[in-house]
Amino acid sequence: MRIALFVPCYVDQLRPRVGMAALRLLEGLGLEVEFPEAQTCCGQPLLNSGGRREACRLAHRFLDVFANYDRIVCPSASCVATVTRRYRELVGESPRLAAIEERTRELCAFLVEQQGGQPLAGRFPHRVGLHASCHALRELRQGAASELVQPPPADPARQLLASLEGISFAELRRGDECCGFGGAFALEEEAVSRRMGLDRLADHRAGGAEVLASTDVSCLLHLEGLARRRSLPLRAMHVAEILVEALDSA
Amino acid sequence: MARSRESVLAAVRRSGAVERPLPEIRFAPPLLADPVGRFGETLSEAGGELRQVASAEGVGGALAGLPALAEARRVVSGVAAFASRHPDGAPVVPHDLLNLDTAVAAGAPAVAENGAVWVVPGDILGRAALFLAEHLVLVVPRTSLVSTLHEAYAVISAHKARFGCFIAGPSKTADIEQALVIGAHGPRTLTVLLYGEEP
Amino acid sequence: MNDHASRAAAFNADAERTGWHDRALWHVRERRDRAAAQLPEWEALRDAAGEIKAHTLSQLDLYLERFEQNALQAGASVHWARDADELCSLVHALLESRGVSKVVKSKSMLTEECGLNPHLEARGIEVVDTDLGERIVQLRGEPPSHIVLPAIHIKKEEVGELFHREMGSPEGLDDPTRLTEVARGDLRQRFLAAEAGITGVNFGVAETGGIVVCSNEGNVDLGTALPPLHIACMGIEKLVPRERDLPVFLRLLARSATGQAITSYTSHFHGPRPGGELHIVLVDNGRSQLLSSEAFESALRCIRCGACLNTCPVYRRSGGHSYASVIPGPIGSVLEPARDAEAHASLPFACTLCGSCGDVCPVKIPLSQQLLAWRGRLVERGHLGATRRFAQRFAAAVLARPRLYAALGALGRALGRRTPAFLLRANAWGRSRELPELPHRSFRAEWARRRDGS
Repeated sequence: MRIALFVPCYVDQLRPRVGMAALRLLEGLGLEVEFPEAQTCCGQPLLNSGGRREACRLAHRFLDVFANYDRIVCPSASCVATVTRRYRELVGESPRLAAIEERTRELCAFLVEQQGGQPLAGRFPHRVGLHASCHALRELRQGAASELVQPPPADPARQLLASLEGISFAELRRGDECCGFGGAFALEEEAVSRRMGLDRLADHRAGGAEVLASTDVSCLLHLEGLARRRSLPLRAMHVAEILVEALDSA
Repeated sequence: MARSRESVLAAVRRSGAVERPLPEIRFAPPLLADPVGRFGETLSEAGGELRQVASAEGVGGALAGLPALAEARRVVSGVAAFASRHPDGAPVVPHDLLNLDTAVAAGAPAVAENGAVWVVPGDILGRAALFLAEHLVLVVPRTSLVSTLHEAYAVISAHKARFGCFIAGPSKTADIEQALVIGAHGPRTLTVLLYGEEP
Repeated sequence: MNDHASRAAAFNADAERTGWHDRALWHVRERRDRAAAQLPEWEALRDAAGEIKAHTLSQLDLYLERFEQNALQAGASVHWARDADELCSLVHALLESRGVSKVVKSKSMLTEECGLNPHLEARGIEVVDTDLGERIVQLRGEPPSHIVLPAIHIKKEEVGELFHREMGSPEGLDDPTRLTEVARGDLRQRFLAAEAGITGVNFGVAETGGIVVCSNEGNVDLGTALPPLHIACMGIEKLVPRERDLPVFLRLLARSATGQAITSYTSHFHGPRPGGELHIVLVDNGRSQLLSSEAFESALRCIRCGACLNTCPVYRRSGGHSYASVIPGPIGSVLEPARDAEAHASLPFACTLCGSCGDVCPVKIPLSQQLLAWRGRLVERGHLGATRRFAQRFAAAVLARPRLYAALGALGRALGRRTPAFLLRANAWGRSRELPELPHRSFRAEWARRRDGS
């Protein structure tokens, strides 16, 4: 199985250790992983700010770069959602796109799929506030969206974390409210974005969270930035970073 | 006028939509262990109160004993078991019902899932009374109780009446800071008197 | 500039009030959740409702004609209005020809959209909004800030001051029950004095020509049982084919809107009351145009429950007036740019694309996808300015060239590390947030090192 690691641009540039953690976890499963170096960005930031034509170019580029892999694994639910849910209307349906859609996975979902539900041998004796990424929840349908009345789909991120020794989860009053990042929204709608983020932080802190975890680095950069400015004792970690730290301390 | 009609219809036709299928509506009614109990709960959630009497013959007595009627001076009644009270003369137009104490009306079916009762008033006075009265009493046969709104629509044939209304609880509002206030413009209380044995 | 962000920032200047507004609406959302969870068939109902509306819209001309025919048969008069002006003149002509000078009106977003009140008032007709929330905003001289809860942005103390000024209630009165009582007394007189009642329409039934209007307060029914003239204003998208379609929508509507199982009153009108008149006005006002848009046509399914407003984390923290539109929140941000793209260009961007709106929508309008679609169109049409276009083209050019991208990334991080804190704090990110710690090496640099065996 040829596995490509898709490291979103902002992870590549701003939080490379999340990419490294993903790599370690995948290689830890005995998988051989490639990083196609021609990759840059899936186009989501352009698409979401209205640059359809430019996003379309990047989408086509993505399809080229990742054409020859059996699995494309990415430590960002949001970027996976762009590829598997949004490309359709951007570049039109095609067998090539269908293949990419079918092969692209969010990291946690892929890890669970590979492990077949085996618990991880790791230790993380901390109280974790698991921030549900909106796109994991309502695009990829990983986890229970509070709006829907149906048996909740599995949440691979929670499943992986829950298997760690010593971990506990902060109970949240609003389990799946958006953090207010929203890409350019964070800048253009600064006041609302800040307020949304601060409200999420307050909820996590009330639940006793020491570590803020998510499948999306973008949410985390926003929440972490707000927390650090206010010197709040909260560590923001991608689920992959937690898993690696837990494995190391096992 | 006619031009507007043609113009709107033409604009709608221009959209050239492809026909989408109309789904059949099939929602199996839930099997309620205690439909009357459920109706009582939903009615109470809607701010109303359930009273029961075992037989049709008992309706008159039960009505007379209700607080909404025992003290009432002016009453418009649409049921045979209770006489209207017009001490100041019979009303002619709805406006004459300004100080109406209580309205009594027959209704059916009652809907367990939401506490609603289907009411078709006999005339415009009966209709106005439903909303002008301080208190409303609905007299409903136990046998009419259905579990969901789907079953209710299957029996009411709403279009056969010029005016018909599902009434669920008294008039209410939460427009000031989301605080629930009973008695906005219409009745301040609603009592449903369910009569008859279990079917 | 007509900009949601600046109005939202003004709203957020009062942090306490922003929190209050957010909590009030979240509370409604929670009530909706509890009500929805009581029906195991909730999702199937949503599917059915969406499909019924999709079908009706795909055959709308036929259903409109069928509705008209059956409504006429039932004794109603049916009128057609292409736009807001036609609706206003039509209603005014009806009122004038019958010598009406006092009208009571129940809640109708359509008449808000068409500016009916100001039109009639300018011609000497007194229009009293009778829904309590609508009455409050009418007396304050402002538009509703929510389509179901028009006065959700107003505190009870402010209602108290308003009623003291307008209705002579005791000064300092702020108890909702007693304030409602004051309004009840005042409005009762107006119901009695009214010569006509204007209502909106929640559903029109094509096979019967009937209309259904939902309310909690009883104002719809007082306003149509007392005066002999009833004018019902109805968007052409309000139709459902059959009477048995109604329960699908009625089971969803109130649960989605307020968490009630059903509204207090669900009134069905088939023709006028004896001795009275019922006039139904079918209004287009841009709907037929929306119908021909593949991307946005499904927004016409909307039954105006307000659930997408209540769940929207941006709406809750920016207030309805920050949208400067008749309909605020996610559905408004889809509908309003169709009416006037230039004026409402910022609305589709007042959204994080969290997707909650689409998941609460009882008729399954893919709202966040439509908001995203609007962004593309507005940018293409140049409504967002040349700077954004330039930035997008530049970004795309860089991102299409991995080496240039890597070099600029490294440069950016190096500059970022050397930028003095006061400068970092002067931009839209840094005013509220710390910049992430900028790593020396990107992931691709780490990968290259590993590959080269260092």
